[in-house]
Amino acid sequence: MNRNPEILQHALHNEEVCNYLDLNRDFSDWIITTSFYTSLHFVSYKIFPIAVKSKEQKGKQVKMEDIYQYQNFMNLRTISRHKILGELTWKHCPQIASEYSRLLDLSMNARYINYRQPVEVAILSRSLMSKIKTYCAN
Amino acid sequence: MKTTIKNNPAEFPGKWEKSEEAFTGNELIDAYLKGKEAGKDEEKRIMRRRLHDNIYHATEVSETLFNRVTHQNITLHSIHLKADSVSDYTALFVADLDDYLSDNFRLVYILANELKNEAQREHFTIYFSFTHNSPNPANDRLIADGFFLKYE
Repeated sequence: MNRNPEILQHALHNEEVCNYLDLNRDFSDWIITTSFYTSLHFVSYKIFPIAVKSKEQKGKQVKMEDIYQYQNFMNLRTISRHKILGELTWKHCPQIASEYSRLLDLSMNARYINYRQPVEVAILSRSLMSKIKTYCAN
Repeated sequence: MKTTIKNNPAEFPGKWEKSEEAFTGNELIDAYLKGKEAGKDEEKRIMRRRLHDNIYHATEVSETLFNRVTHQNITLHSIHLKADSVSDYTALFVADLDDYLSDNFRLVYILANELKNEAQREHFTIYFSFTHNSPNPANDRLIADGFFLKYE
């Protein structure tokens, strides 16, 4: 199935922002955030479209183009899309699922620490993003 | 088969009388309402039981992961637990910053995913999440986000 180049472009666009922020490491919190959202789009580019079993025709498959379609079709509206994509990453990209989960946690759990994140955490985020890009964008 | 008949003697034809086994429309309505109430009470009882069992299971599984991770010489400081619903739980682990930054921490996520799948059952799912310690933790935000149990 053909991947959507728009998703890849979105990932590359976010990566440029992350690179720009990295010129001045006073904004570690935003480096972490942009690392995550860049990786989210790289992972989405790698995973989608996904073929799932049709509910109406036995033996047939239906193509899900993105996480929104997937969430609606699988009736997962009570579960967050971040969690759904995390699960899909373990299923379809296990080689970088640990990296992606770690970035997801860095971004989502920052609220419990402080916006003044150590620069080492920002460096880690970019390293994780780089590994995800290498796996997903090729 | 039981049948309903109108509860108005005047409407009964003269030679007819209400059978002992029959029930009236009002009795049927009363029975329906009582049954509905009983059904609601039973549903509440089941949900309370499920919540109790699931919280216990969530704490048990979280402690298991805590032990598996610390066995890998990774320092964990605490676990915070929240219930996203009666069936879905999130356990947030606070790790030492130096361990959190190490390459070895990659293994923690693999262990967590394995245990998440092991613990999964009908009406129970647990998500594991990790963060690092900080000199200024925002405990109020943890509580505001629903983390009601803490393990240290």
